[in-house]
Amino acid sequence: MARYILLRIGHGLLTLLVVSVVVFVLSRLSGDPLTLMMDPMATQQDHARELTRLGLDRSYPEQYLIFLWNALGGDLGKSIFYRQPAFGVFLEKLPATLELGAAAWLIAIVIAIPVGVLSAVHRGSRFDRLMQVFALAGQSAPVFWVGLVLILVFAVNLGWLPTSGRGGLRYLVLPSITLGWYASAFLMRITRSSMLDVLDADYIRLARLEGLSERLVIWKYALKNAATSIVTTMGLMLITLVTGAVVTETVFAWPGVGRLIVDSIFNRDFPVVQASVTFISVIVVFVNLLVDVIYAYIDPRVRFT
Amino acid sequence: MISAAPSSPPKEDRFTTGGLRHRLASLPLTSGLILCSVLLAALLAPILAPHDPSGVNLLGRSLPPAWLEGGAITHFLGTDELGRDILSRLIWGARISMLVAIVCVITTAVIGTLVGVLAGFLGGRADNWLMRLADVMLALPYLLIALVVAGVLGASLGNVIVIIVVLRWAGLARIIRGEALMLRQRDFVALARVAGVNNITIMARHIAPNVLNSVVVVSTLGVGSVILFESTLSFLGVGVPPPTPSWGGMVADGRSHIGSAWWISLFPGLAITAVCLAGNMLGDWLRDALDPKSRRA
Repeated sequence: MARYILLRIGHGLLTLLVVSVVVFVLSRLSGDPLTLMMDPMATQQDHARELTRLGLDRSYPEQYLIFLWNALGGDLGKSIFYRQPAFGVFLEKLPATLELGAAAWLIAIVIAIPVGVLSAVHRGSRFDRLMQVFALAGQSAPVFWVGLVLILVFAVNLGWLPTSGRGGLRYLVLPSITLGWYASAFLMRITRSSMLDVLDADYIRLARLEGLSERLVIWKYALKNAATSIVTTMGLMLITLVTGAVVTETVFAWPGVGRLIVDSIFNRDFPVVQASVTFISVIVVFVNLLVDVIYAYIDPRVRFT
Repeated sequence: MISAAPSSPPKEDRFTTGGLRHRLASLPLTSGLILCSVLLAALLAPILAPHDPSGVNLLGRSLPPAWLEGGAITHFLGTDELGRDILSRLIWGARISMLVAIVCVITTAVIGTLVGVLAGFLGGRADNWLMRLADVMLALPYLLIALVVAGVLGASLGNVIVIIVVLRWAGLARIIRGEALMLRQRDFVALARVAGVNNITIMARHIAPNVLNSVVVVSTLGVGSVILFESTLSFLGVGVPPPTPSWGGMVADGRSHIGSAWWISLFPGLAITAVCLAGNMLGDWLRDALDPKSRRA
């Protein structure tokens, strides 16, 4: 088990290394950051002094190591646009994204798991087929468009909810449904297929033969065993949520991290992009690691593959 | 409700009796029809489109679709905020979606199969490194990376295609590698080896044809997600640059007019959904048809 965890940690670090190289190379491709950062009245000497101070006069490998060292210390540069530490700008926007993500996640689970289980139990029924189409449509409709259609119907035509921005619960409804519906389509299919695998197993047949109630058999015995594969998809779901959040926040002008990244790309505020992408990657890698470890704990077989 | 199925429901028998006819009958006609017509629209865009897709007409801005009050039959789906004909832009936009989908899916299939077969068949260190790399690619928050890369390198059709291929080959490679690993242990491979056939020939003649089914299924299922991905990048403004009409870009154009001219965003979004849905359904059907094992899921 220890060996397995170490292997997974090594793998996670490798992923982060790749991200850091990509981010570093891109930050250098995006042009000389000084021309954006410096006062236009600055002299040649000021420019040279600043270059040395930031280490931009050294070779690229050296610069990369400096970047990596600073990043480990939490220093990911200074935002050109906000004139504050980039990481601080990111942290400021994080709560809004967490709020949206948590609400969407909750919606996805509340919809997807019961529907997935019922679909599997009543395999081939009209309900099942309808839900399959529903899941397929959820995976096919672009998030940004679903968001716009919801705005059109519930905000513009019915006037029930605000079109965009962040405030109370009313502002959260449409964005979280948009993001939650996208994530639930995926989770529903996973739940259904893992329940199908479990429902044919001998211990389920035995439980039924023993006369246990259908409710107990399905929601306790079967779902508990199907849960392992559902849990492992949570890591994948996080990537889905991050991806969806970038788009959802753009559509609803939700002041979160996703919108910050998109805005910063257009503002050429590269330190902020760098800090945000690096930190999000750390979270994604960490969650994946956690999921792998939990999975290995539940199902010892995977430790040896 | 609870009384359902004490034993599992009867298994479908379409793979045992009257297989082919049954399979043809369940062919997803709607999906095929949608994909074919979009492909046709893409190929014949110059002939089919009633107007110039970039023809700005400031006098006919934001005209509603023909069936609404104020609409004109010459602009069947209405016009956008610059007076460009939406139907014509949809037809030309099909070109972008289809081009990206076809180029990306085929390139990804070639790279993924190559890497998968090499890793699975050769094993050892090559396998180890290739699969580490694939795992890293799969663990990346891919939209973020794509967004940043496209943002820095600049929005262009070529960049979009390269980004999609670089981010997508790993999924297929992993699946193919698993299959190649199993095939390697089969008797016919061992016999080929005994007969003195070299590795490259074994991979090309005996492994590759046997993984073809999976390549086709995974690639078909990939059509929808490639189109979705391209349109997302275009919507965010880092994909196919204007004035080239792309479906994602068209939805973005209409975003700020959603209250007054909803048709600008609605139709391109509907087109994306329809094509992706068709691709996914066709992929699901192919998987069931080619691989009896997965027919339940």
